[in-house]
Amino acid sequence: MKKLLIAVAASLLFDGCSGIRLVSDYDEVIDKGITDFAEQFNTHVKNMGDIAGRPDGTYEANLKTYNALDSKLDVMISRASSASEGKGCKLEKKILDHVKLVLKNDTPNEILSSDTAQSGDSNGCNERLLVLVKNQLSSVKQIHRYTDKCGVHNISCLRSATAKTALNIANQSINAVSIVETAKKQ
Amino acid sequence: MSISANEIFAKIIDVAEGAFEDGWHIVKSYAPTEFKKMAIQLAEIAENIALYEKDNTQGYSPETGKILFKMQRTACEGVLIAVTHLTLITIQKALNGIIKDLKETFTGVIAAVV
Repeated sequence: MKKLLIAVAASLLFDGCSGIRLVSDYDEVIDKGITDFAEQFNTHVKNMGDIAGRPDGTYEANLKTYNALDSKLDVMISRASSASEGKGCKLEKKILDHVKLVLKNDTPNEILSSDTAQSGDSNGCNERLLVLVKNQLSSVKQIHRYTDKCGVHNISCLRSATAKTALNIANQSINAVSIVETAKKQ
Repeated sequence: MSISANEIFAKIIDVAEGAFEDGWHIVKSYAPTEFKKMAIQLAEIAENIALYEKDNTQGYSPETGKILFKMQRTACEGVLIAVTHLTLITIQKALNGIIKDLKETFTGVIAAVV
């Protein structure tokens, strides 16, 4: 009887623990989707920097491209959101403490709420990473529409210096999504 | 055949080392590279605002700089989430590697007990 109990316990240990999941599975749709988005976004921002000051470089002339980029992200966010079932992204506690120390009152609510969340999971983090990319796109749109002006008529534009900095920064957010998906795949 | 704790321990260490080596390499190279980029970009924002203030056809306005700074903060959040995620992926791979190896090595012994 004792031998039987040991055997059952051992088999439970080996079978039950096989395939431990701490992160969500690799998602080819998100991996491919973010790569496509990166290509289109990089091309668009570079083009805008090159044609700044021309009528075809204004925000209004490029609204359709922004809408297409936005929609692409919305599809991926919706996919990640349904996988996370509304749970948040729980940041590792030590990292969270450092973030709060550095950002003080500016710490985003999404991160603060995850501090006490019991249910945060890696699907929620996938969603958050994609939402951050969407925020970057919104910021580029805001600059293009309101703050960058070119030429004697002060038309809306994305200056070449702005395009360069904005692209480098936004690519960090895009890479964060890519590197996580790539690591899951390996 | 008996199961020796030392034997199991040696196996776990062997598998864990292999699993962590690849995973940690990604985390170790990713985070500092991204933080360095942030430092360069923040300096670039300050330089471009200064250029604009001298000649408004150069660089970009403080209003644009403010939005770019906000973007940098957003990027920083993404990097921190990715580092957390990469760490979890590494731990998951190490755990699963250990379980798989132990299962392969010691299943016969467990079968003999039954």
